[in-house]
Amino acid sequence: MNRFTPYAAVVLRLAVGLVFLHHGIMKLHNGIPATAEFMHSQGIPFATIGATIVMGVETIGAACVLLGILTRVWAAAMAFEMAVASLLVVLPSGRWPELEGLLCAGALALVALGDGPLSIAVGLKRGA
Amino acid sequence: MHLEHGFADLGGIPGQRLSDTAGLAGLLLAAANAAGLDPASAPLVKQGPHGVAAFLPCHSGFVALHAVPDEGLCFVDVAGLGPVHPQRGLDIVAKRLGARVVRTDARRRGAVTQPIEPERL
Repeated sequence: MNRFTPYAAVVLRLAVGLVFLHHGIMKLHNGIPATAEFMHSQGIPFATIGATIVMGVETIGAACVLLGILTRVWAAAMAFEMAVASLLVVLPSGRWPELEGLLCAGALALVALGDGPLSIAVGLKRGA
Repeated sequence: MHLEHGFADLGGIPGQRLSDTAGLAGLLLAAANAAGLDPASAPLVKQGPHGVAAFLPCHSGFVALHAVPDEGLCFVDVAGLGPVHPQRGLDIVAKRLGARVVRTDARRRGAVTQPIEPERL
């Protein structure tokens, strides 16, 4: 441990948040019906609700992780989403879930680390 | 270097299904995933007087289709470089559209080893 250790959470927040946000914006461009149709074709039940939740996690959640707001909660949702995507979408298509596994690991690390420094939540706590 | 290219002519599809542009966009994403292709952008779907054209560029290939809702027809192409499985992509499109008639074909495309001189055409 050194004085830079707490900043690991910031680096991880930026990496995980930006990747999720990129995918969330792509899904926004696709629209909820197209994302739901994709999920339905993968055998995922309640596809429209699922698509809405996934898009929320990948846009609002990603923005919150970037800013450090409720990082643990959103990171847990992201880790769960990546586990589901790996099992129901990527592995059945015969591919190895490299990106999904990495993002799941990163999100789980954020669940452990929390907001970290340079986050809005920590700033608010200090201000209070 | 080869481009694995699969084609499918699908018939007997309800016209309503083929007019659903959002559904077709999702179908392109599903076909790309099944084929092992990585989408490079959002699907483009355009409705015109002669049917619906849809295209999804991928990092090592593409998925494209043209649907004619009035005739219940859909023509699908899935192509990609490297270890891709176009047939899996075609299968998922045929299944999800509920096609009653399916005709598929595949071609392995690659470098031209015996070029045809244009003046002989």
